[in-house]
Amino acid sequence: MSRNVNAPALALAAVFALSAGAAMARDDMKPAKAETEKCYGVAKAGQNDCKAGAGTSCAGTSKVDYQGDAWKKVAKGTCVTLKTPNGTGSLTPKA
Amino acid sequence: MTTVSELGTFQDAFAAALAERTPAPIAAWLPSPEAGETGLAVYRNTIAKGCVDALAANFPTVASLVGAEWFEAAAALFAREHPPASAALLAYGAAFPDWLAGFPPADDLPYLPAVAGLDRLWTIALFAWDARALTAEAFAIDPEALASARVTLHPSLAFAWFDSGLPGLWLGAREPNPDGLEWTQDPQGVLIVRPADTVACRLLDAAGHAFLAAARDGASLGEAITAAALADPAADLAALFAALIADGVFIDLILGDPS
Repeated sequence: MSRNVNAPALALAAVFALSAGAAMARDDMKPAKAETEKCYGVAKAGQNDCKAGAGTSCAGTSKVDYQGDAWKKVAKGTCVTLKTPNGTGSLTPKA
Repeated sequence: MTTVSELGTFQDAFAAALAERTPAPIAAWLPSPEAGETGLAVYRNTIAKGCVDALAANFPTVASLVGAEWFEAAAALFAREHPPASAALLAYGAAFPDWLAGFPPADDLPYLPAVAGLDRLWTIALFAWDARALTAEAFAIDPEALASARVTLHPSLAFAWFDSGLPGLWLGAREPNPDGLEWTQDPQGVLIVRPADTVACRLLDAAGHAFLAAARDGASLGEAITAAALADPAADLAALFAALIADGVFIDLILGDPS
C-alpha cells in the first residue's frame, strides 16, 4: 500500500503544519549544550546530580527506629486544595 | 572451617531471622537463644532505612505532599510488606503506587496514588535506554515526504492523560518550595522524557497527547497531526510539532515508500 500524501485523510493543512513546525523548531534551536556525562544511579527530588543513589545509605549505626506508626497521624506535607466550580475544599487536613 | 555450602545455609537462616523477626532460625549459631535479638534489630533497622531512603528518593513528590514523618512511617510499613526483590534499590517501589491506593490512612489524599505513579514514570524515564534525539534539521525535508514519514519515539518517553489536573499538581509539588497547591478538575496530560542526561517533564494538552498516541501506534506524521487537529481544532499544530522536536521525543524518522 502506498503511503504517499495523496491519502485522502491527509489534510493539506496538516502537511504544512509539520513543515512549519520543523522550521519553527530550527529557528528556536539553541546552540548545542555541551553534553555532560550521565551519572547513573540517581533519582532524588527530581534532580539528577551525582550521588550514591537510592538505598545506598550506610545505616548500620543509625539511631533511627523504623518501628514507628506515624502514618496514623495527619500527613503534614504541602497543602493541596481541590479547585471546583463550587469553591475550594481542603483535601489535606491542616495541622 | 566454614565451607561455601555452610555459609549459604547460614545466610539463608540469617535472612529468615531478619524477615521473620525472630532469632530462632539462627539459634544453632548463637551461644544462647536470646543472644541474637539486639544485633538482629540493627540489621533490620539498616534494611528498613535503606528501603525507606530509596522510597523517599524515588517518590519525592509523595514525600513532599505528606511530609517526611508520615512518608517514612508509611514507607517502612510498605517495605515490610513488599521487601525489595533486588539488592539494587535504584528502582525500588514499583508496587508503591498501588499499595498507597489501598492504604486507609491515605484515603483523605485521593491524588496520592496517581502522584506516586507519576514519580514512578519519572524514575523509569531516568533508567530507560539512552538514545540521541533528532534535532530540527532532521525534519527539513520535502513537506509531503515529512507528512508520510513515521517516527520512532524516544525509549524514555512516557505520556499520559488524566481526567483531572493531577499532572499540574504533580509538577507543582516538584518545585523546590511548593505552596498552596491546587488540584484542578480540568483534564490534563503529562509528558516525561530524558533525551540526554536530565529527565524533563511538562504538561501536555489534548492535541499533543493525541499526536503522541497516534505516533506511538504507528501513524504517519500526517495522520498524527491530523489526530491532534481533531482532538483540538483550535490547537496551534506547527507550535505543537516544534515543541515536541525541542523536547527531544523523536529518535528516528522513517521515510515512507518513495513510490
